[in-house]
Amino acid sequence: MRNLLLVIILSTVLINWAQGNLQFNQAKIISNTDPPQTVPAGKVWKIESVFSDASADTYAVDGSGATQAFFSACGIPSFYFHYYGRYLAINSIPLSFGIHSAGHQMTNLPIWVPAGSTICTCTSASYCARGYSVIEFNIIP
Amino acid sequence: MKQFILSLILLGCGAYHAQDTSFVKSAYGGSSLTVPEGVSWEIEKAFINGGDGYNILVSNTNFKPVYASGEKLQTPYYMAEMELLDKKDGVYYILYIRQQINK
Repeated sequence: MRNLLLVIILSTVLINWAQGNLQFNQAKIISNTDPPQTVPAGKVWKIESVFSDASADTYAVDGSGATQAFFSACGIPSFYFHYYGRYLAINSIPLSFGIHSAGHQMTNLPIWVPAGSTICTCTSASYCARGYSVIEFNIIP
Repeated sequence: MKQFILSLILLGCGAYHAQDTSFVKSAYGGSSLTVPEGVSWEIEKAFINGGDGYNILVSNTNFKPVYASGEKLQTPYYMAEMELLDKKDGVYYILYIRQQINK
């Protein structure tokens, strides 16, 4: 009996999660001088584009960077960053949106960011993304 | 007596609301659904899906307030909300329809 109840409750929860219904709320552009952004409860963000602030848009991975503490405001320790990497940090993970000299983009867009996640920017022109654009959706039943 | 009247009112309310049924239908963009004879349809809410794991709520202004019996409900081939989908080929609609029996 207890197991049956558990199955029913789990099924209900899973069905509700599987809905995936979204309503457009707003488009946002966040600059790298803005404070860290936390996705509000009941929303989901879709990062559509990440902007470059470097004179060069491509970078080679090997031996072309430096260990820096760009995201210390978000509690991220020093990390080896590559020049022109167009970095953002999502939930304490530094991510490069730069284009590798071999031709591929290091992180594919779009990225879906769930409620409660934090997105941090940094301001170095040689390393950091200039900003990013997001679409904010309401999660609806 | 009071309870009898209350029961009658409740029965009446139940019978009145029993005229309405709600259901979900899906249709590809640009296709049409025909309202059966003797009923009318009202779109409660509508979503679009491009084959990804999420549905986008679309405005009800894309549809008529009421579709009469025999009328065709045409799903738009394109609407602005489709720009929110990653895949725009083979977009289909999920329509939450309230059906009323014509009196």
